[in-house]
This record gives sequence, C-alpha cells and structure tokens, in this order.
Amino acid sequence: MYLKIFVLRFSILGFILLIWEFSSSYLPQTFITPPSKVFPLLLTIWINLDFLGHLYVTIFSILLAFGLAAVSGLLLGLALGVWKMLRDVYEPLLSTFYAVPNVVWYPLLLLFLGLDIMSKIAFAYLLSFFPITLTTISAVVNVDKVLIRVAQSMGASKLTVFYKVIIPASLPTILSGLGTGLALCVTGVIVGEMLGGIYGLGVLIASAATLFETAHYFAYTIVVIIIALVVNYTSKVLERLSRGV
Amino acid sequence: MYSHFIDIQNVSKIYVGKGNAVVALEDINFWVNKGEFFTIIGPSGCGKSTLLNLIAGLDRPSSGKIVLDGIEINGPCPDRVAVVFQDPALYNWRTLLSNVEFGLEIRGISKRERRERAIKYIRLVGLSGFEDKYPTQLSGGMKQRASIARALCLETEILLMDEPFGALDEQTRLLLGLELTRIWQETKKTIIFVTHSLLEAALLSDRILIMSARPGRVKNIVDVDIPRPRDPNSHAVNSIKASIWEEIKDEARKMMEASLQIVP
Repeated sequence: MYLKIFVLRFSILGFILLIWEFSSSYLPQTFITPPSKVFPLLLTIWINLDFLGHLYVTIFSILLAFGLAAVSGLLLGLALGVWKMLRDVYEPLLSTFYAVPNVVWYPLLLLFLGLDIMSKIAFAYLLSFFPITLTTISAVVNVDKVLIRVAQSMGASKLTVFYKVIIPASLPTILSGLGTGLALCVTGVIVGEMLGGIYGLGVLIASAATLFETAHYFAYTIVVIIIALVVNYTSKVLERLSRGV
Repeated sequence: MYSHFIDIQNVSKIYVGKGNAVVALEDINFWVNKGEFFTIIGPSGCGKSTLLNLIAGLDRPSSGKIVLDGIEINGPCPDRVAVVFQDPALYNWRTLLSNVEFGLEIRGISKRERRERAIKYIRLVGLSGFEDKYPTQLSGGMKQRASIARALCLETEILLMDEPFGALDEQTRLLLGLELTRIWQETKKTIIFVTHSLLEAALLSDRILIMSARPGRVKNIVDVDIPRPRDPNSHAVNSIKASIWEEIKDEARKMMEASLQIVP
C-alpha cells in the first residue's frame, strides 16, 4: 500500500523531470535549463562557502522570526482563548490585520530596519504571528465543553483544567497553526530577500534571475523546495504525535 | 435534621436569555434513599439533565435547595459524588488507564495507589487488557465502560449517570445496563440514573421518577418491586414499562408538538 503510493508519487516526479529535460532542448537556454545541467550544479553549490553563508542567513532569519512569532502568538492566543472579554475586544482587530496583504508593510519595514536581515525577520514575523495567534484562539475556544465539565465534576481547579484539559485538547490544532506559521516564515524571509536585501537565498535567486543565470536560478529554487519539504514534514510529524496516533 | 440521604427541596431552574426566560424546572421535590437505584425518566428536553447537573453541583438552582446527607450542595463535591455523562468524554491524549486515574491524579493521590485502584475498576467494568489503549482505539460501548470506571474510581457513595448509554445501540445498552446492576450491587452505591428508555428504567430501578414536559415537574414516582436479576421480557418488567408509558406519552407528545411549533 505505502509502496504503491510511494512509487506513484515518484513516477509523477520522474515524468515532470522528463518533460522538463525534453522541452528545454526546444527553448532558449536563458528561459529554461534542463535538469541534466541543474543537478550537477545543485551538487557543487554545497562546497561554495559564499552560498553556504547566504543559506545560513536565510535559515537563521526563518528560525528567529518563527521563534518570536511562536512564543508571542501562543501566549496571546492562549490568553485570548481563555478570557472571553479580551477575545471580544481584540480578535476582530487581529483578523482584520490578518486579512491585509502583509507585503504592503514591507517598504515601511525596509525604511525603518534597513536592507539587512532585521527587515526580513520582521516581515516574516508579521506574516506568521497572526495565523499562529488566531489558530491558537480557535483551538482553545473549540475544546469540547464536556471534557471540561468532566474535570470540573471531579473537583479540578481552573488552573488544573487549563493545563490538564485545555492545553492537551487544543495541542493538535495549535501545532497545525505553528506549522502554517513556519511555512509562512519561509515565504516571508525569501520574499523579503528577493524584494530587497544583501544576504540570503532570496537575494541569490533574484540576482540569478536578473542576470539570466538560469541554471543557478533553478538550483537555488530547488534548495528552497527542500527547505519547504523539511518544514512541511516536521509539522506533520509533530501534529501526528500530539494526536497520540 | 434530615432523614433523607439526598433531598431535593422546591428546586426551580430558570434560564434567562435575551428578553425571555425559560423555566426548565419548576418546584421539584423528591428524595433518594441511601443505596437506592433511582431513575429519572421524561421526554427529551424536560430538564432531566439540568436536574442532574444541579445535583452534581455543576450548576446552581434558581430557587430551592439540594441537600446531601444534611449538607446543602453548592458546587461539585468529588469526594461524595461522581458523574457519568452521556458523552464518554475521555481524554484522547491519555491511555485508558490514565483516563481512569484522572480524578485521583488531580486529587494528588500517589501514583501507586491510583494505578491499583484504576486497574481494579477497569477489571470491574470488564476492560482488563485494554489499559494501554487510547480512546480512539476503543468502541463506543468500551468508551462508555471506561467513563464508568473513571467515575467509580473516585469511590464516592453517589453516582450520577446522565443517559450514559444513550448513544449506544440497543443490544450494547441492554448488556451494559445489566452489568451496571451487578456493579451497583457489588459497590453498594446510591445511583441516580437519567434515561429516556422505558426498558432501562424498568430493568434497573428501585424507584422511577417521571417528569412532565417543560417546565419539568415531578409527575409521579413509581416503585419497582421486582426481584433481581430481572428479565427484560418478563411480564413484571413489561407491566412497569406499560405503566410508565401510560404516564409519559402525553408529556412526550406535548414536547414534540412544542418543538414542531418552534421549527417553522
């Protein structure tokens, strides 16, 4: 069963690679570079210290932005989830902010924080903070009331109900919110770097594209895809673990 | 001085909403003896669950009082009263064993003692061997057994059960009902059992309180003098069923008509 899914999945991938390889011989080299030229490059960039420096900056920015967004989003989300009054006041503000396309703030962030990594971290933070907070709120609010009643009927205090019932019951949803947040941090940092920066994968991608270094462009893009795969896989595993299956 | 073990005195419950008030319970009076299997039956929506929540201390009456062994109830008293809800409400992130231990855990009882007690009650409800399973791996009937074990594990004198078998299929509910009789006889608890099933009421109870349609009032209290074990098909059980039905059918019809008026 798993083998079958695995084989089918990779045969699609192989098919795409074939089309890619085949079609590139009919198109100009500046438009598309065949996999047979991209993959050798993809193997050699890992010994290029300059590339590793850029990669390090990107990953560092992603993790820092995510760490900040996760901590502040969780705390605010839990607080708003538990206190109805706070939630009634602030949740509409949060959802409105979330609906604004965040990229409109980026010029402002560049102006205030400069071309260096701080503007990217702030942008990624903005992108992921809202979904993390809003998911945490709804996770807490949607905890089945009867689960809470059971604990109350056994004499549990509010604090006990919070950390023995509300936290574990909402954990799977909270983790899926964190997964979304992490994915958005990746987007935020790379888009930020592409729109204007000095270091990072996004800068490499943007400059490769401007200089028509198509092979490099594809190679860096594949690195981004690898990061996305790792992020996606990690959040899936965490979510599954928290459901106890 | 109160001579009754559980005494419900002039209890009313009114829910006040926006611009209207719903009288859920009106002037309820009855008592339950120690060691009795007492059943509350009534049409859906008559307030029987509300009444049980009041006795559990999870909610407060609008007027009147509920007295337990001479002391008025004004909050959950987990060392005397345990509750089994209609929804098994197990914690999916805990194993069966750890679910059953939960009440003892929040009471700060040592790991060794709560394990011993939990295992004892898991055996009593017939779930030995499933201690390390998670709720998602159990069937509906097994989940409800687990939730009964969790309540029994508190070792209270009183067990309140709010339609505990309501979500189960008929065969499972019949079997669990008979097992509940055995557990009740073994543990000598006082049980207040809420149901809408005539058969369950006739099969399990010492006395049956019949509630009227909303607002919920005490319509009648029926004694069931049938020796146990009771046979679900016996004439005695059937005649009790028939007499409850006789009293309850008009109430059920009233509730149904009232709900039809609300729908359009």
